[in-house]
Amino acid sequence: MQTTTDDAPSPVSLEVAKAGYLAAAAREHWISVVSLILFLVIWELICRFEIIGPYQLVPPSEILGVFVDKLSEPNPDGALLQQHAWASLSLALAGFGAAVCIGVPLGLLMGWYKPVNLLVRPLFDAVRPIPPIAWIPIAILWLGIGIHAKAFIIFLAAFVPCVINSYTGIRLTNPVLIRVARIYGASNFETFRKIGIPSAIPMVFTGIKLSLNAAWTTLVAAELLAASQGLGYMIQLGRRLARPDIIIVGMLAIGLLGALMSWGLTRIEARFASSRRLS
Amino acid sequence: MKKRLATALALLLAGAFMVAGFTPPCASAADKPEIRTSAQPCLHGMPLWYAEKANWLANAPFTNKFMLFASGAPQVEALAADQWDVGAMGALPTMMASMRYGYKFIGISNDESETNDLWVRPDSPLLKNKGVNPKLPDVYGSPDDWKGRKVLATTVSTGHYALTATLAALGLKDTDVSLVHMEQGQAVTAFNAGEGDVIQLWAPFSYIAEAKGWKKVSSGHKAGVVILGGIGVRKDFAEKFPDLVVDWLDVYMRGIEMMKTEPGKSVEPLLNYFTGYCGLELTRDQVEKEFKYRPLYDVNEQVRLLEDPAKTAAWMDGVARFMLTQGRITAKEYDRYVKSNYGIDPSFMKKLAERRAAAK
Repeated sequence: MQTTTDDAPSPVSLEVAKAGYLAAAAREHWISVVSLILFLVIWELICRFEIIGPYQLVPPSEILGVFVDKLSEPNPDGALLQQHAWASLSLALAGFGAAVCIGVPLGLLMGWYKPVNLLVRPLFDAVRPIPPIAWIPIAILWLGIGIHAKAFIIFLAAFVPCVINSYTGIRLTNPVLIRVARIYGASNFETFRKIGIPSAIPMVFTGIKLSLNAAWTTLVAAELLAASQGLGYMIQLGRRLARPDIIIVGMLAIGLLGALMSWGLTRIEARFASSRRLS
Repeated sequence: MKKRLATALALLLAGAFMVAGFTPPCASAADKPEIRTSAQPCLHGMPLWYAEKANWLANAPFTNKFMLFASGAPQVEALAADQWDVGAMGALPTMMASMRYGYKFIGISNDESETNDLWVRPDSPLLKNKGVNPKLPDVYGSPDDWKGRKVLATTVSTGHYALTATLAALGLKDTDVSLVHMEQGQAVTAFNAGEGDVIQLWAPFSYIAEAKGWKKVSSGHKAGVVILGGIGVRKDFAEKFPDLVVDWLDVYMRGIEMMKTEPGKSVEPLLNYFTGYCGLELTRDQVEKEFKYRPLYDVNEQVRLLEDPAKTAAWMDGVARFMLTQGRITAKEYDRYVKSNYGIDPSFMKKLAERRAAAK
């Protein structure tokens, strides 16, 4: 007992280690901030000295101005930035939400139950390599030109990573844990629910994050289908009007919304992980 | 050592062969400067493509590099990146290119007023009324027939201009209909599947509509606006090589004049251009319609149209005003465009006319 107390680090050394860690973290944080500022400064200078023309690249200071203006000015793309953002957000959430709700359980079931895997896998493997954009004409025929067709395109893009990661996650469940559960009389479904699913959670979340990226990536293509609002539509109009500032503001808004959703997902994952540890 | 020397020699020889491979094989061709021609899968893209096939370039003082673009937007982007020198595109991309990049509008590829049109299904109530505005007797539907209709249209396009002009002819605005933005191919699929009440198209998609039995209810021409296709040149290129631009224009206009004077003879080449080169599926009948619906102008007609402020300038002003009222361009941009004479530069066409007159 005495020996372990002697081996334990003293409060002072813990404080020193903590301070060192915080200093290193702050240094790393500053390196990231400086690189970002440097990038913006170089970008600004390239534009100011007209190394790249004003109709090809707009300086970040002007982008910021356009970003702010677009919050109250619907022209030239016909809607306010927040209206575009809301249209895109609801579309991305619809497609992404459906992909998570269907893809995750399907992947888990495929990974755990062989008959489900045998039944679904051939179809999934056939559909998986088809680019979501190739589905657009079929989506129009099946679902028309409203939000359903666009959400369907996003769903197809987001669905694949959900299934693959959930499948892989549950396949990697520790066999020792499965055997222990069986020894203690757990049914196959109980083992699936209490051992398989919790052990697959990290991979499932990785899949969900990848799905979120895929959903935002496909947004522009989905809004090619039919739109009068949305960030993808805004980018397309910016292209048609040769307005790189509008294009960049649209891209920036997509980046911000995507990052925000990704951050939210990380928080949810952290909560799940901590509750798993507690249990 | 010997092995290393042999390897180095082999690499040097391989490099030399590669360089030789990239060098134009014909010395006389290498002496000629290269002009990069941009085109679309449209009638106005054919002249230089056909010139190569028909060996018209044998005596031309330039070689041609042909570049195909699916639509005006990527074509303008490539222009901004200095990827091509001369070409033809629709009124709107021509206007945007002039406004943003100083692109020079040097000729009229064709009049696209009739091929920017609006279609309905045969059972549409819009077909019940015609000529409600007596000044525009070929426009179908009354204001009440049009109000609230779902229109599938490629917005910020010449087709959109035709739609807005049609609505204006009936005293309506864009906000009186439900406008849904779609690209042309997808709009045809959607309309075919029962979506929308009216579809805005341009050729060759209009021919698909006609083949499906849909009815034309209006067009740019029927709504009283003129929509031109523009021939143009990149600003830097025009300033550095004005004579070369005239040489190129000479070949281009030969193609246009062939189509104008000998439409029967031109059907086969245009069909080959569309189906063999551009990958479109069009029939001979549909290609014949290209010559029926698209007025073409010879060099002398072009000079008159380009110089007359009531013609080309006024027609381009119509397009620019449409963009202004739509809020797509600012008043400042519009003023600058007007001051630049809408990017119109008739000097190249005039030089060509003089050169041809002198040759006679």
